[in-house]
Amino acid sequence: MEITRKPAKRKRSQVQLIWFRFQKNKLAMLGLIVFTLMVLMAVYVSIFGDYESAITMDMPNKLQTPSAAHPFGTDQFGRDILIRMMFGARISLSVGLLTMVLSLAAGSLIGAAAGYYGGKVDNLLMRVMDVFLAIPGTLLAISIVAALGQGMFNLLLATAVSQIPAFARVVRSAILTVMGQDYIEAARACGTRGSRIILRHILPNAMGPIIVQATLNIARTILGISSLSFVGLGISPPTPEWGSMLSEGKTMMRYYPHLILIPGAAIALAVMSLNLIGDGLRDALDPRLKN
Amino acid sequence: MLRYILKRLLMMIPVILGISFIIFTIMSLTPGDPARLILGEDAPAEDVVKLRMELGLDDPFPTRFARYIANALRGDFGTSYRTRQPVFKEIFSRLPTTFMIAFFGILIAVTIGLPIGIISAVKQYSLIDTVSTIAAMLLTAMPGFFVGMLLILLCALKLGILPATGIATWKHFIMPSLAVASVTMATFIRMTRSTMLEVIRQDYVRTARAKGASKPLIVFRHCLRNALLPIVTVIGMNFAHQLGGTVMIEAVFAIPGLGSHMVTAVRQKDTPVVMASIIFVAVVAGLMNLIVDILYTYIDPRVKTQYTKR
Amino acid sequence: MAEPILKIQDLHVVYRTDESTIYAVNGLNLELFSGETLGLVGETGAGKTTTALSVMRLLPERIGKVTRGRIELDGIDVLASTDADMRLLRGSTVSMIFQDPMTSLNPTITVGDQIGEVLRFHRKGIGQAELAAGVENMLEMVGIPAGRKGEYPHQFSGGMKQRIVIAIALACEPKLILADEPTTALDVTIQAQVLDMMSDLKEKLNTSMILITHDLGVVAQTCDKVAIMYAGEIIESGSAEDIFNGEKKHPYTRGLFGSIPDLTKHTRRLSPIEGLMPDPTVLPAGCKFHDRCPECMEICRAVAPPAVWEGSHLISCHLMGDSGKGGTER
Repeated sequence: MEITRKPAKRKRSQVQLIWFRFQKNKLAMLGLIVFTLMVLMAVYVSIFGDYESAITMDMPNKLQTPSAAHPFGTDQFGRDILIRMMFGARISLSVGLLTMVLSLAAGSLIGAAAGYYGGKVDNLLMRVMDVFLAIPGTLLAISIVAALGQGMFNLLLATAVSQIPAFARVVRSAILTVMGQDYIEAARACGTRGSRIILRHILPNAMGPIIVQATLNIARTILGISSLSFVGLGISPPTPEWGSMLSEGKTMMRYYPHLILIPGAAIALAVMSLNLIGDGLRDALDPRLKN
Repeated sequence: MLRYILKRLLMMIPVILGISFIIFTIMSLTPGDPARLILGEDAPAEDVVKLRMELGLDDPFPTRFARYIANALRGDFGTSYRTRQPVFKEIFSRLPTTFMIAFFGILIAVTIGLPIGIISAVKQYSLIDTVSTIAAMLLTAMPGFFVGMLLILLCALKLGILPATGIATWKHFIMPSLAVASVTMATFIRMTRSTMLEVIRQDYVRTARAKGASKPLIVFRHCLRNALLPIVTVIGMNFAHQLGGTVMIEAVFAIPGLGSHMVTAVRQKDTPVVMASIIFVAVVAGLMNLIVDILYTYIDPRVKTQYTKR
Repeated sequence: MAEPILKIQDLHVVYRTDESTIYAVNGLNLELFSGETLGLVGETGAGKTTTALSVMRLLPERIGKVTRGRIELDGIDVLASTDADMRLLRGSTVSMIFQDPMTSLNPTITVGDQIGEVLRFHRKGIGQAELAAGVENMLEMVGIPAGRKGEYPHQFSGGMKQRIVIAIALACEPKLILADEPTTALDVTIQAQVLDMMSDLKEKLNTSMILITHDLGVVAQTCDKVAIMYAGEIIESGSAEDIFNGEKKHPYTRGLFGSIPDLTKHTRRLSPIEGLMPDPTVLPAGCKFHDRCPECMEICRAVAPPAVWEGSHLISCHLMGDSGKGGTER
């Protein structure tokens, strides 16, 4: 018996389509590459040097200009700036990611509850979120740090809390938009069960904006962490966090600008690449907006 | 119209109360004994206990909160642990500085950002569009205080044309405002661009073209007014964010504003100052938002007719 | 015979996006004389709006392109004109009434100003008083109290908005009006009012009109000539008599008429035309209607049908040519 195969006209899955559109966006791909490099750098920094060398002072070597041994030079305490920057990447990216996950989880619960149940629950939750949003995020984080003291954990908590309302809003609006679509009503009219509607219709379509927001959120968090560390309310020296590196370098920047240019550029690169990825995702998810 | 303003002001009250509540709750989580902080480590125990009773520190939470609000309404925000001065005076004297930096920052951001955004939209995908988009993204990816430092490096240290620290003259406000502007400029450029793009796609623009209108006329008469509406709203909302960011920028330029005062207070566990500062800022931000909203009702005919026909 | 006010020859229009190319208009020929009303009929996606936009050179800028053909408006070569020339034509020689009145008016400009704009563009040096009088005149003509000229679009109902749009279109007494489904978005009762008004105004000003619609009833009411479009081509055209009462019909036209629900006949099911219009990015060879045609022949699949004339009646179908039932080929 002959088994014949039908020439299948490959139907791309939704995810593949989105990836295809994303790839066409050169800026977004650039952002992705830069960000991936940063992640690799953060993960494999130990190949280049250990943590001790990043924080131990080495005064005889201080303030050296870029050379073979120290590609970015050394700071006023003799520490290799490249290594410090790479460890800084590890700190910023990991804290950024963790913060995002925390605020996403909390925000999603609130937003989903508000969107799905609607009515009084929605009203109450959103009023509370509005009040939180009325406080500038930086200040809210500062207040938490003020109460609980400095340190990485408190910083994480403070930043996460300040981002929750934004997530709650995005999740709620994504869910409401999807729920308002006619195809949900159509699914209900066919007799589809609530749980199936949520799983197959609401979640996949609401995912898009949420992922975009999450990406952009990590960028915002990195900025927030470095800001707080800069004024001494976050991660403090000698930990090589980019913000505190900027604060340390400020006094000597006139004659040794590389002390601030390196960490500043690192922050800018990380944030920008994440923003490019986030924007690229947004365009890839809804190409109608472009044309 | 007046009714609308009153209504909005009234609506602000629960928000302010809510904000105060949240901040008060957070700050009450601070470990340590305020009475001890005021009197010092070596003060005798009875004095501490007496002060605690005086200040009502052992009262239940709702009572303490109510008392705080009642005092605040009279202008009494407590006394700084550190300087023993009334908090209100300290904050109020510094508020104008911070406000002005944030205000000028936004002004600059809008003045530069809006035209660039319009051009980017009208000449979509052109060189100007791509360059300005990338430049804006780069600028916004840098923390405001870093931009401030770069400005100092360039203008003060290398070129010597602007003063680096303090607020003695009007010149001192230029760089801080520019730094604040750099944070939001990108947002305005992108918002303007995307709003204009949306507006350009609208049917009424096609109608205008069908009438024989020229491009500049369409952009300025037909598109701009419509695009401005969401942008104005964003300006108001952004102001709160700006005030928050000014904190860092004050640190860079050694400006004796509200922000640096707050940071010092946090470092020294001066709770009343921190609490009052944040509430103040939130109130100012809320008022700005309200002003912008009122402006909006004058610009948008759909809302205007609703409120002025009476 | 006088020169036609509008002459379109072999028009080809495409829309080019990043992802595909849409062949919207494929070889369209059209002639319209002063005072005539042509009904341009077809399903959604047949290319009717694209044709109208091409006449005014209002295709979406980067995406829409006229790849071939010639459009002559009042003797002027539209496709060869500069932007500045086109601006002079738009609103004064030719104007367009768009489909959706709800979104066609600028929400931030008063109704009076929007009408006044057309007058200001095309009547150089018009004075304030004259302008105001002109605006009020137009409003009265479309049945809206002149005192409302200071109001904004959102303060009017859908029907009134469409009348304002019509006022804008007619303000400079154009020689040709392109009306793109002007009543589709309106209630049936308002529809009748608006159509009557348009007919009156047309009579008064002796304007030519192309009325784009998918409603054959409207066509019967108002049009002198009819052209039926399918997949970017005109497959049948002629006078209203020819189309409605003629015995020979293009199979598609027959399908259109057959699918109209008839109150007098007693049927169990409606009889739509099977299938859908072809994907405009991948047009079929031969006759574009062949895969839906109940009388499709071998030749229809491969060879594009000839244009067969019988007096003023044009049918583009193999059945009509000498391979079919008769008539003369031109």
